[in-house]
Amino acid sequence: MWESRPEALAALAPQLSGEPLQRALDAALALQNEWARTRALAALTPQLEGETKARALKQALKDALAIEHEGSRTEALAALVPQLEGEAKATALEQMRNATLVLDRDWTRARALEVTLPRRSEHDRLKALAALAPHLERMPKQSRLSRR
Amino acid sequence: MPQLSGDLLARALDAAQTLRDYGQAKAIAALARHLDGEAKAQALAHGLDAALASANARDRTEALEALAPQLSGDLLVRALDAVPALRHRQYRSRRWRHWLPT
Repeated sequence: MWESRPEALAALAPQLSGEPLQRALDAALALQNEWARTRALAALTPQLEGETKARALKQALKDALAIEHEGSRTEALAALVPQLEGEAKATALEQMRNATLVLDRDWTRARALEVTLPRRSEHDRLKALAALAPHLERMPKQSRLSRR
Repeated sequence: MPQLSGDLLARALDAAQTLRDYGQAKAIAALARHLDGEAKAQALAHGLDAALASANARDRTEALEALAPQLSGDLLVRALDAVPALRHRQYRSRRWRHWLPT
């Protein structure tokens, strides 16, 4: 069974505040699947503040790291990274750097690279791009990477 | 759609309301952007009714997503109330790449 509840929560998230936001957060935390929970929390956290936000991000990162599928985990982490700070961000980026070595789908590998590249040394960037280059022709033309 | 105003917009809204469920909700979501005040609120209420009446959860979700940016107040709460019922199969692949930060 696939969840569309996180998609709906994500669509409503920018409009939410106060009590409806708290209800949406409760609904997100009640989702059973790690991916679904991460997806919903990643969308809701920009609306949150203070300790509530910190707890939600912590839970989202924990869930994202628990996603078994490499590509799904990479996507989940990519969505969270811009909101993370400090050690949590370092953990997520480290996971994504590792993922760039093992992902078998070119576009997810490219996605992981896209997020982690700016934080790598020049030598590492060149090495990573050289490894990716042979696969670029097979990447979807409409991927976000190619549109940027 | 940006070309519509006045009578044409009213006629388009009438036409939208002859559509069923998902189609009606999506059409109203597009047209409501050109409305304001009470007319907008009424159109969105109709659109939400239509979205929530859609036969399957996938259609309900997509219709809800289309309306969501314009919802507020009671309509937003109604949309939120509908979320727990949204579950369905075989949805992942098409939606997957939408989950990327902008």
